[in-house]
Amino acid sequence: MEHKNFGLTETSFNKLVADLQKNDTQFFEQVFLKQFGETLKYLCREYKSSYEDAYDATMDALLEFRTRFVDGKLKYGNLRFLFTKMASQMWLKNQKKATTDIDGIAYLAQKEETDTIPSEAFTKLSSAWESLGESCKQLLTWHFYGKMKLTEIAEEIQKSPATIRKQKERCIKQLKEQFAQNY
Amino acid sequence: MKDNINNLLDPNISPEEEDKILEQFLAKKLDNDLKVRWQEMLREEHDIATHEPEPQKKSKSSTYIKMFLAAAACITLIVTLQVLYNAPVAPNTLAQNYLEEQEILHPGVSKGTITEDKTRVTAIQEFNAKKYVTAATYFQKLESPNEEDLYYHGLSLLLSKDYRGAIAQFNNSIKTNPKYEQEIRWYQSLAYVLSKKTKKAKQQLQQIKPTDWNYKKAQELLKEMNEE
Repeated sequence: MEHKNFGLTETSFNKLVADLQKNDTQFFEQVFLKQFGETLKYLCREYKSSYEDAYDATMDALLEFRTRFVDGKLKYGNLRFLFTKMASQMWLKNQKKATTDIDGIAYLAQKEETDTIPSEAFTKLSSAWESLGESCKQLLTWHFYGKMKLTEIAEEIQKSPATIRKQKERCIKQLKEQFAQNY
Repeated sequence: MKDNINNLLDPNISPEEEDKILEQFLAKKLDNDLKVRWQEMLREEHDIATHEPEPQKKSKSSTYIKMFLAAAACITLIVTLQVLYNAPVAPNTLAQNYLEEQEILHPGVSKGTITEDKTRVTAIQEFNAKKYVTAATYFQKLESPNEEDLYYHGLSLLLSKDYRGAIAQFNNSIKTNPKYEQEIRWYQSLAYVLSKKTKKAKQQLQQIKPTDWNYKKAQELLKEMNEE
């Protein structure tokens, strides 16, 4: 089973997901960046893809894998097969040829929504984000990007859920105030 | 969701919408950050650039310089071949490292195939379970092997340290297998190095072009062999 999962045992798989939820990507990188070259080559060979298109598709698949890990949508199983298929799907999608599912993997469309964020507003919000303290950045990253529930964060940093809820509200308020000033 | 980021400034925004906007914002921002980080790691640690390396440009040297260089190259080649004929361990070790540094796996059964040949499935399973001797036996048993089967058969032999068998299999395969030509050339080079057939190894490595897969590694191997 481990060879189907990039050498990960089920325990190490769970650790990888837990790390990603806290935006610690080191273990993920150790496992997946090693596969990048092989997948890129696979796309070039199977789809006669250009190097650049295959590179982009493999990168998109890596990012999507991270998202799916933290969303709890990827289970310990045949990750290797799924990664290759996802890279293929990303390549087809990027080529605007993916009109249907490939082997039951859900069509990946939800991320496109984020592309509609206006760049000027995005830049200003990014600037506001940089002005936040580290504890706020950590809390909001774990919650929004790592998909951790506030109760899980509370348990992790040994504070009460109410304290974490309040902290989240304060952090968002600070972010919005700074954003308004930049606007 | 158009222009939704500006809605953060709306005093009547609901907490749900606020969360959704922030989630989208952070997904985009932190994904971008990761992308930049991974591009750098791939370039620095895995020798994978965002763009395909350009082939080396031909110099515009004068005819005399070219002739001089050609003569020098011939002399170097003769000397090198003499030295390499008894190639010692270092290139061997390097070749072994190259072979082991990345896990080689079969991507799986053919796309969309429902009735897959049982022998092929077993061969692939054995290959991915690193039981290369058994995998080679099953690949051998295939009645009508395709390009992929021939290639992985060669790899099975190489990874089971049957270098002579691998070289022969790659020799058969490369004639009819343009799809895997670059891979076969590279792995056959390693088989030659590992079986200490230095002259053949060098010839094979020299055929790897600047735009081919593992060109840099091929040059490294040649360099090591020249220094021996």
